[in-house]
Amino acid sequence: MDNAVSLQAIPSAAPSRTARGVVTALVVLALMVAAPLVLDRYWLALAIGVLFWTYLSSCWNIVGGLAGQFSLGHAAFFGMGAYASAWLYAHYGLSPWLGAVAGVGVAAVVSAILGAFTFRYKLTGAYFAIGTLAFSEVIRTLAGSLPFLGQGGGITVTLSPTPGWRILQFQQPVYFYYILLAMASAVLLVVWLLSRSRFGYRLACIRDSEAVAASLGIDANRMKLAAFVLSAALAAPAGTIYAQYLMFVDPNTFLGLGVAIQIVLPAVIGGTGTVFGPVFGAILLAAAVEGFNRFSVRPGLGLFAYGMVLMLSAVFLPRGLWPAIAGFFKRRFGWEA
Amino acid sequence: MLELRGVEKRFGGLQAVAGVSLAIEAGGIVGLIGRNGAGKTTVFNLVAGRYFPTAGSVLFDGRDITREPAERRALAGIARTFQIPEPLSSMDVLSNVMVGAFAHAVTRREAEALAHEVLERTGLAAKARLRASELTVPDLRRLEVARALATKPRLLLLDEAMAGLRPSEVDDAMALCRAVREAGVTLIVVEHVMYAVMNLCDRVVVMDQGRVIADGTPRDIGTNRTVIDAYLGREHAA
Repeated sequence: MDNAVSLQAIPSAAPSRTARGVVTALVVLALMVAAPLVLDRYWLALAIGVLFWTYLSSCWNIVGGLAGQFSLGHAAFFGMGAYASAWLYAHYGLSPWLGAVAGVGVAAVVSAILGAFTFRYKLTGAYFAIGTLAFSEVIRTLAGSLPFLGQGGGITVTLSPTPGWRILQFQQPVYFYYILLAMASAVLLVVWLLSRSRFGYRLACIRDSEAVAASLGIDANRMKLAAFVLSAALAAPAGTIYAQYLMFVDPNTFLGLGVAIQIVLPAVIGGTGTVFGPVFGAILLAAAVEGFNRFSVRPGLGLFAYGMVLMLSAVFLPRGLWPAIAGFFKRRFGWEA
Repeated sequence: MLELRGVEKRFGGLQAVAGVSLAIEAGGIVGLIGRNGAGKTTVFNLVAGRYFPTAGSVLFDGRDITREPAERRALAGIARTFQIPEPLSSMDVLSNVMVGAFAHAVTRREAEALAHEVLERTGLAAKARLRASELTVPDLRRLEVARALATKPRLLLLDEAMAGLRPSEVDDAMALCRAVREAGVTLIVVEHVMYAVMNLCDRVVVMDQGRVIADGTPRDIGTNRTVIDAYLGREHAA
C-alpha cells in the first residue's frame, strides 16, 4: 500500500520540479541580460568578476565536486588558455577565438598526461591536491623562465586601432559581460546535465567509494581522467577571455598560487559538487571583498575578507552556502531544489 | 559457472588462502563458512577481483579472469556486497541503486526504471527517497543487495548479509535470497548465522586456515566430524 503511493508520487513530482527550475533559470537569465541597462561601470565590473569566477569554479567543480578529486592545479589550465591565445596573437596575429581553441587543445593534452599519471598511481585526497598544485607551480616557473613566453614580464596583447569581435577587443566592458554570461550559463547547463547523466552518477559513486565503484562495473581511473580533462579543457577559454580583458598575460596573475586557490573557493564556499554552489560562492566572495575594500580605510583588507569568508563558511556552512539556502527554502516553503 | 584452481593468496607472511580448488555450478545457493580468519572474505575478494591471487587461477564461464580488474568482472556478471555496508551516503536510496543500474543502462530513464523494479523486489520501494545515511541496519544490508542486483549479475556474492539482524529479519533476508535464486542468479554467501546457512544453502563449503576442509549438503556438513571439531561445536552435532 505504502509502496504504491510513493511510486506514483515520484514520477509526477519530478517533472514539475524540473519545470520550476527551468522557469527560474530563464527568469534569472533574462534579468541578467537586461542588467547592463541599469548597472554603472562599478557594478558592471563587479558582475563581470562574479560571472568569471562562477565560470572557472564551475569548470573546477566537474572534477573537484562531481568526481571529488580536489585539484589545486587548475590555474595551470586557465593560464594555458591565456598564454596560448596571447602568444598566437602577439606572434602571428591569430584571432583569440582560434587561440582559445588552441588553449583548449593544450590544456586537454597536458591534463590527460598529468591525470593519467596521478590516477594511475592512485593519488587521491590531499596527495592529489598537492600533486596538482606542484604541477601548477612547475608551469608557472616555466612560463616565468622561458624567453619566448616573455619570462616574468609575460606577453602584452597589443591594442588594435580596430577593436571588435574578430580580435576579441572591446572598448566597452559590457561585451565581456555578455561573453561571460553566455559562458557561465553554458557551463552551469553542462554541469547540471552531467550531474544527472550516467557519467555524473558514476563520478558521484567514485567520490563516495572507489571500492563500490569497482564492484558496480565502473572504471574509476578512466572516469576520473575524463572528468579531469573535461574540467581542464573548459577552464582554458576563461584564460583567453581574461587575457583579452586585461590586455596582458604574466605568470603571477594567471598562474600564481592566488589564482589556483581562487578557482576553488567559490565552489567550496557555495557547495562542492552542487550545480549552483559556485554561483553563490562567487557572489558571497565578491560581496565580502568589495565591501571591505569600500568601507575600510586600509587597502588590502579585501584579502582579509577572503580569509574571513572562508573560515566562517567552513565553521557554519560545512556543506556550502547553496545547500544551506536550498535547505532553508525546503523547510520554510516546501520547495525542492 | 565459477571455478577456482589451486588459488592461493599471501599477504606478506600471512597465507590467507592456501590452495583452494572449487567448482560452482549455476543455479543454487552455496554457503561459505568457517571461523574468523579462515579466508572466506579473501576468497570473495579473489572472485570479485579486489585482490589477485599469488598462485592459481579463477575461471568464470570457462574464461580465465585471474588478472581481470573488478570492474570488468562486474560487467561480466559477478556482483558483490560488502561485509560492512558501504552506502553512497551523499545520495538517496534510489540513486544508490541507479549507479548499479547504470552498469548496463545508458539513459537515466532506463536506469531509473530498473532501479525502481529492483527496489520493489528487495522491499525498499517505500524508502526510495530517503538518504542512504538514514537507513536502519537491515535496510542498509538490503540496499547492498539491491545495488548489486541492479547490475544484473549472474553470480552474486553476499558477504555476511545477515550479520547484526534479528531472527525475524534473518527470515526476511533468507526469503530475499531465495527470490534472487528463483530469478536465476547463483549465490555464494559468506555467513555466520548457522540457522540461515543450514536452511538456505543447497551446498556448504567449510574453510579453515585458508583451506577447504569440507564440502557438501548442509546435512552432510552438520554431521561431519572434522567440521564439528574445527568450527561448529558440539551443540550442532545431529
